[in-house]
Amino acid sequence: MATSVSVNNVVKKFGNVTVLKGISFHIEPGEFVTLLGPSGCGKTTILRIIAGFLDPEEGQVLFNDKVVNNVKPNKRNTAMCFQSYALFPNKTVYENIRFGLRMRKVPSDEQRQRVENAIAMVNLTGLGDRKPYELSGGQQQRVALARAIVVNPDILLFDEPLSNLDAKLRERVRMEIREVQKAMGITTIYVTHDQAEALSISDNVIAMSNGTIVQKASPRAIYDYPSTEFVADHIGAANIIPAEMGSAKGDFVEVNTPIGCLYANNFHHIKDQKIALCIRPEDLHPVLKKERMENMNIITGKIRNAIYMGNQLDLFFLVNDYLIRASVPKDYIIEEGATIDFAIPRDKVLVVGCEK
Amino acid sequence: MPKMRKSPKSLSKKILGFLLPSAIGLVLFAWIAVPLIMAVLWSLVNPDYPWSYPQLFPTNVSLFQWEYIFKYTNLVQSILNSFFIAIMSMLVSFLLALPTAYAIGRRNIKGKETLKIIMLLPMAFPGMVMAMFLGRVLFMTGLSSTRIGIIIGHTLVGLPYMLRILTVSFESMQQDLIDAADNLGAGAWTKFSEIYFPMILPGLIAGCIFTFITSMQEFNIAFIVGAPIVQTIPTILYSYLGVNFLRTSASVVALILLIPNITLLFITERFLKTEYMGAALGKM
Repeated sequence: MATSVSVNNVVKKFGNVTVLKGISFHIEPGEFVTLLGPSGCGKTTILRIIAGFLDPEEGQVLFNDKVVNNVKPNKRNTAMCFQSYALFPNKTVYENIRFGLRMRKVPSDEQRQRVENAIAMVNLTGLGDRKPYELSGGQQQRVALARAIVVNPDILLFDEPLSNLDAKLRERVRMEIREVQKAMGITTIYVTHDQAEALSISDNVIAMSNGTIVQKASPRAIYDYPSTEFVADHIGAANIIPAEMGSAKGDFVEVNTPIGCLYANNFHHIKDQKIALCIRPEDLHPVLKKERMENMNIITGKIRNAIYMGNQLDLFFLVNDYLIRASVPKDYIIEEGATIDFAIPRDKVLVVGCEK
Repeated sequence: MPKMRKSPKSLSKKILGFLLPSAIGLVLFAWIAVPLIMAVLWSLVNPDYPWSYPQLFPTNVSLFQWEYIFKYTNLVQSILNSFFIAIMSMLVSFLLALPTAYAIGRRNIKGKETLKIIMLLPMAFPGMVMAMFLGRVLFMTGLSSTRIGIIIGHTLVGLPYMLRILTVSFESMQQDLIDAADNLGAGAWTKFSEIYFPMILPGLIAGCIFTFITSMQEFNIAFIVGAPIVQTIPTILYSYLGVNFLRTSASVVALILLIPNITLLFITERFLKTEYMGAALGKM
């Protein structure tokens, strides 16, 4: 029923600029995948290539193992939600949602039934006669969603659909999108630059940088085990420390860093000499002096700033001129100027690839 | 004390809020209304009781001038000619401009900006010069003294307006809308009739009005190509403005020339206020 999507070695150039430098990935039927990356990394371009609005210079796009490069966008049976919503301004909400069904020559009784179901599904009952400009941003986004799902597309495409909404509304519509997608089991590709959105909505996250894919993993895996400095830095907060690979010590490797010699977890089996370490702020635990534990790295610092965030306490301290950030439970009372020992579990000090 | 401070402020506000707009309104009203009233009065003068200096208004009013004009000139035929030529040149410029504007507005064409400037060049050409050379060309092709000849000339004059307005309309359309239609399965015809057309409609109407009015009022080409066999309203009007300057007759023709223009302006008003403008200017 659901469709798989494969992208094989796709290259796209705009003039002299190569926007996609040979992208390949595979999406299982019914999977919800997020393309995450900073603006200009090519994530929207790949989405537009999948929809058929752009033709790649090289490479193939396959739906269910069938090459669709030469299939026109109106024959691909994808449905896209645009950042600008792209609702037809001269048509009512009802007409907007019905458009795709009319194009597919669905019988008119069925059209009415399906449009009404879709309107109910996105909680817009009673607004069918409005024009798009008479709706709020959140409502317009829901119309766009209804217009996309009503045609039973093989693939749902989202191009930063929530970036024009305020934070609270964004969270709600995000949940609604995920629920609708799960209920219908449609293969979904979602483009965003918001890492929280990517982690909370998807089965898998594809991190992109500069026209290449850096890592594809589940939200948990990509947060816990980023493969490069770039991914670590863009998904969640991270202390990134340049380091030099030392010798293996049991399950761990010894690395030399400006903040001292640490034992680290080489999860990705990186063999380079020049590497970086990723330490999540929440993995630094303040410990009493002289307390020594198994499998812990200990670093000591003098607290420069202690910032109370409500849900946590953020501590910033210098170790050999390196600013380190630690997030500790909100109930800790730690004064600025105090010298504190922090324990970091060895498996939470992750060896990541260096940016070239 | 605060009241004291308040009064000069509210006075200046009053001046700005009431007196200034009414003053501007009055000037504008005078600008439009005085010539109009004068034209009406002049067209009603009875030639047996000439309207001369000390009288503020004509002493005797009659429809003699109107009857005279309709009886002794080809005014009815020239009105028909004018409308026919204006509508035809409007349609031809629309048909020529539509694909061109689409190509310039929505496709990546090399030298797009140069094309846009070339498009506007005919507007910089003095009307009489253009009319003389065009008249020569049309004479050689045997289209002199025909309505088709004038239609060709008027299309040349009106086309730049139509092209410019339609190009801007096409350019300002969001690509997302077209992509969305494409994405939902729309074919080429549906995309044109349901997406492009409604979006360019305000521009299209504005362009049509421009070309129509330009043609209705155009004298140079109509005179050189058409006169005296094919007459339009302006060629008749101008014949009263020559050596035998007849203000009374000219007023009648001028008033007749006003009718289509004013009607069109009202139509434009109606159309440009439709929801497309609301969509374009309203909240997103």
